[in-house]
Amino acid sequence: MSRQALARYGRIAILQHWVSVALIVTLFGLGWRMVSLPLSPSKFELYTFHKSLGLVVLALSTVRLLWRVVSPVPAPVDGPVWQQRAAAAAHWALYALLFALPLSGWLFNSFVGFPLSFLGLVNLPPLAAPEPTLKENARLAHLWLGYMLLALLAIHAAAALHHQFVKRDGTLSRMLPDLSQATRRPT
Amino acid sequence: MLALIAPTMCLAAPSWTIVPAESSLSFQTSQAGGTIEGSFKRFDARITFDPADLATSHVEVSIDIASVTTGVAERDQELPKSDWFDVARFPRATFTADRFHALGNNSYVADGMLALRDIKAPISLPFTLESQSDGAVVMRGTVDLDRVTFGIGQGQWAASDIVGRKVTVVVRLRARRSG
Repeated sequence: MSRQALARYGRIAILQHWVSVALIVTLFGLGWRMVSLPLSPSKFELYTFHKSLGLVVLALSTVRLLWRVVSPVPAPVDGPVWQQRAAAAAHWALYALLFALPLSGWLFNSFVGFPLSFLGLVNLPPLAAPEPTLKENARLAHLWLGYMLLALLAIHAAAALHHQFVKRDGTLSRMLPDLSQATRRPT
Repeated sequence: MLALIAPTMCLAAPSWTIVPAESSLSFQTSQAGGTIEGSFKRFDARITFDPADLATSHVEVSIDIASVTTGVAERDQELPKSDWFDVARFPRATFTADRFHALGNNSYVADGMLALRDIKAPISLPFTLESQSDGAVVMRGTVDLDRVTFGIGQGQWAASDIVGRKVTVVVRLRARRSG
């Protein structure tokens, strides 16, 4: 990799990042909507879609984490050491939550005893045997991990926007497609 | 009078009593694409059956609908409601059959009527019989039903397959001759 390539995230990392964003936003929307609906076929369909997208996040996060480990990433942007450390901690905490959140949902579903089907196509096994005494704990874990992810995402996005538009150091641009290169390439 | 009844009784097929602990009435369907299983814990059966005298054989199974369970509280609390079995109005289902035909190899078909909720519809239940060493007989039968035929799942549920319309009913009875 040339030094220039390391000035920004690679195209695959960028794609993975924004697909994750789209999935997570959709999952929060589905999650809130589905729990508020009265019992109906639509409620079941939203749950199925939420669970299926959650499984996609789990799979994508696995690929992303492996990709993060094997592919080079840009160096931390200039700034106080505590900010660099906080940013690194936030990134790893985000990865942890991208696993913990879908897994806690899967566990909740398992304790309740509901089947888990990916879009009605493939049946997935439960992570544990049905256990009515633990399902409320699992539900709360899934809920609070969700709030934690939301809080971290808010900080992560606020920091990126602060760097981009207040400090004007191009932090956010590193995670956006390089349009200048894309338009230049054909020549 | 007795003289008239007695010969009829002698000719009738023998009656059988089921062993509840070794009999089950279970079903399999789907929820959001995943398989779920359930059963009716309480039912009784009046069976007069003779493979050599199918014409006088008769079966009547009465099912206590409130005994339905799928092993998950969230589901089990919905099933008795009016959208599903409506247990308050229709506490029992019955299957009656008096037309049987033999298919060979201990296989038979019972053509009968299933009365479930407020609907009575004909169903054909294929089954096998297996004699046990202790003189009991094990009957096994499986039939696919469309829950909507019997109004199980009213309103929006009737039009949706998110709770599977196809329900596979699996009957296993162990019966002893009682007369």
